Amino acid sequence: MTEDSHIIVKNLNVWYGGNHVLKNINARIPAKGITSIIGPSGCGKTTLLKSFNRLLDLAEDVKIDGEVLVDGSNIFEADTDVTELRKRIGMLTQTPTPLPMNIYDNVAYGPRIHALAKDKLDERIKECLQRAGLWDEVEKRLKDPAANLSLGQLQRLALARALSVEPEVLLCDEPTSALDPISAKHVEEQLLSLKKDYTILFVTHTLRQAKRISDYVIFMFFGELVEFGSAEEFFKSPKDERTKAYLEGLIG
Amino acid sequence: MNRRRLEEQFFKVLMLTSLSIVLIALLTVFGIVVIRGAPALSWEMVTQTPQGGFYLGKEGGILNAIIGTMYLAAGATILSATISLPIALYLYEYAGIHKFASLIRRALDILCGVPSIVYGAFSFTIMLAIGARSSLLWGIITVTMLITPLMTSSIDELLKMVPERLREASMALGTTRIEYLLNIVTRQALPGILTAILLSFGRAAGDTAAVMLTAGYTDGIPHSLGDPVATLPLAVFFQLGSPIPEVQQRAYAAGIILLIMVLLISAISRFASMRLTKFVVK
Amino acid sequence: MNRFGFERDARGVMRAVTLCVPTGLILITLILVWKALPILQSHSIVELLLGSSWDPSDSVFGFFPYIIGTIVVTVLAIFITVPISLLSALYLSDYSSHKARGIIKPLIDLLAGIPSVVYGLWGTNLIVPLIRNQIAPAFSVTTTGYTVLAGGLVLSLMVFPITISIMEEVFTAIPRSMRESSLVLGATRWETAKFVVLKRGYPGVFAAIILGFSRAFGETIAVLMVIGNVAKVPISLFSPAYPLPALIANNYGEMMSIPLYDSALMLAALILLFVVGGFSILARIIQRRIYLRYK
Repeated sequence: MTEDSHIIVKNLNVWYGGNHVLKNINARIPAKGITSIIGPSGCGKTTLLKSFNRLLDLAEDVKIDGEVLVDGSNIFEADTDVTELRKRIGMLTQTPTPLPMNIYDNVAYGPRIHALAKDKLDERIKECLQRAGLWDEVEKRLKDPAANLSLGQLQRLALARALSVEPEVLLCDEPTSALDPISAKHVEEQLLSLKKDYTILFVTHTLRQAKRISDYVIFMFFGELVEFGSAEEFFKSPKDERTKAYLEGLIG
Repeated sequence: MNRRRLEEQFFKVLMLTSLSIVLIALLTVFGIVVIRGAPALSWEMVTQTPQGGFYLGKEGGILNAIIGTMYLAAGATILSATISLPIALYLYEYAGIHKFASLIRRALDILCGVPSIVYGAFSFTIMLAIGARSSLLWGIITVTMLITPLMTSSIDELLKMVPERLREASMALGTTRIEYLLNIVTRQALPGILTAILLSFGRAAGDTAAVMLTAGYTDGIPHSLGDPVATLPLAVFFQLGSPIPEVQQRAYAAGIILLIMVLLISAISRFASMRLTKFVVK
Repeated sequence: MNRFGFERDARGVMRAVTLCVPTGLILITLILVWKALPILQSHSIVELLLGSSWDPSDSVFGFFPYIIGTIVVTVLAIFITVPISLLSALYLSDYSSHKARGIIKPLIDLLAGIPSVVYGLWGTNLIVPLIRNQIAPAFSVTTTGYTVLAGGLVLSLMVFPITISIMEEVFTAIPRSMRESSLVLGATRWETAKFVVLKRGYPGVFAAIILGFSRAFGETIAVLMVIGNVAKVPISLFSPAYPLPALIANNYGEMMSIPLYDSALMLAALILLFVVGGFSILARIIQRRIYLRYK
């Protein structure tokens, strides 16, 4: 289960101002498949995610200690090319944000910046939109402003955008919690179809969703990584008391 | 109870009256200029330069001022935009060191409030010191000094309204900060930026005090930056006091053209804003 | 790597351009001070600021009439503008419909865009004759019409867009919930405006007045065209006056022919700079106070 680790976290500690948000996290994220991160609200799930693509750098007053190894190299090292890291690790946020351009340019933005697929841009965009499950709905209106899309469509657009730069990892921060049930189902289905090719980290606060889609599960509780296991083991026979309590709905 | 109702009514009427006073005053401004200016407009007026001297010559029109204004305002606006945008973007993105940013903004505030006559006097002093003659170039430089703080402030305010989540969305794809600024921020703020630039153009075109002694004045149309240039406001100012009615007519014609220009700018900026907001992310 | 090099260079250029702002301000101040120095050295401050005679060829430079002229016409403009702005802004924020606001606000913006010469045209063609033929005779005064009153009226219209837009913004920023808590108790809209909106909004009103004052202080052309340009301390609304900006504008040309004249005019410009600068800082301080209070 942990032989093929894509991301290895070693003694990761994060402080926001005076708050110790992530407490000594140690984990090995398996390559490919969906690893859910579950836990009560405010326990650091998003922070953990954002530390993987160093989006934490954007926040004010953040202190980070420890290591995160992606394919062997520590991403916090001073000479890390952050833009390259973020190309390899893509992200979906809870509320999808369109870029102020038309749909085509939204998906083309990433490849253009990183100078990918220069003469095959049209194909690349079509491919990404298809993998995101949005192509059919937008193929006739690629030049329309992205801002006009519905929330569910925007999230799939965000997925297409994330895919456009050929990532290896997809960080998903509660990507369906703001969507209506049908759109949520769409997004879930797309991610499930992608999990054989990508390492997907999926933060959710809905146990049912986690049970539905996970291959592996991480349980976080107030900044600590409490338990980790394959989905089957985790849900059937949780080892930690806190995990048991959470799964039974007694806490969080 | 009645007293309170009366008070409410009284003040309501007072408020409406106040607003009406202003709107009526606006109307009279337009009215006067149109009444005096419209009869002065003719095909010759806008296609010919003054013949026989701008102050005393009876023939000709104000083409010199029209073209002069275009050159001056366009030059100043372009120059100003190339200065304002980098400053505003820098303040938005990099001047995170708070003290520095607020210092710059305070300096900008002061510069915005400096009367155009002071910029004119300052410029004139420099010109005297280096022996420069009043010309289109110096007019452009002076007006640029005038409108750059205004443009920078406006754009700065605009950029503050760009939603922060756009930054995350862009950075998560692996862009550098400058790429984010140039590709995303400018596009998001584009309608506002355009409006700011257009309004600055209007201000540049309409100013008198800053160009009075720095741009010179002439009957002709400048062929190079070193030539003196006439502008519409100067055309009004210098020709209004002439004893010769035809010259006065030219002043009024210039006045009405200025007004038309203001209206056009307002309409264009509104229109452009509307067309461009379709890409803007809420 | 290319992209990072570009960012580094771009950032450097942007910082350099940004530094031009405070540099420019300091430069302007220094040069004006430097040019004003000669007259400050040869005449005492008291003589300059309080002297009433102006005879450059005799080296007599009394700024008093000009300073008073500027103050009087500016104060008059503020007196006229403030109540009208306040009431109009209140109407726009608390009484008018969305549609009405959508029409009126652009019209007011239009006022802001009109060049000062055009206001000057309006002044000479409408206001001056009005004063000469209607208003002054009503008070049994004869005048050419080129008066402080004319200057004040023209200035007030020019300042109006600034004051009303700031006040309207401030009033609109006050949350609906606050108004609702008053209305729900049965207060009238005016009482709500009085006790909630104005009370919360008065620092913003103050800032608006200061900025308006600042703008009026430095306005040159429109006032110059209607105020008469007579270098005497105005004794009534119907007297002419000679504000500082007009002094500079009218005498630019002769500046170099009489010794110390240029220095005197630069001193006038310096006075304008300091007054306007001071007001701008004051307005900022007030704005900060508002911001902190609402946090």
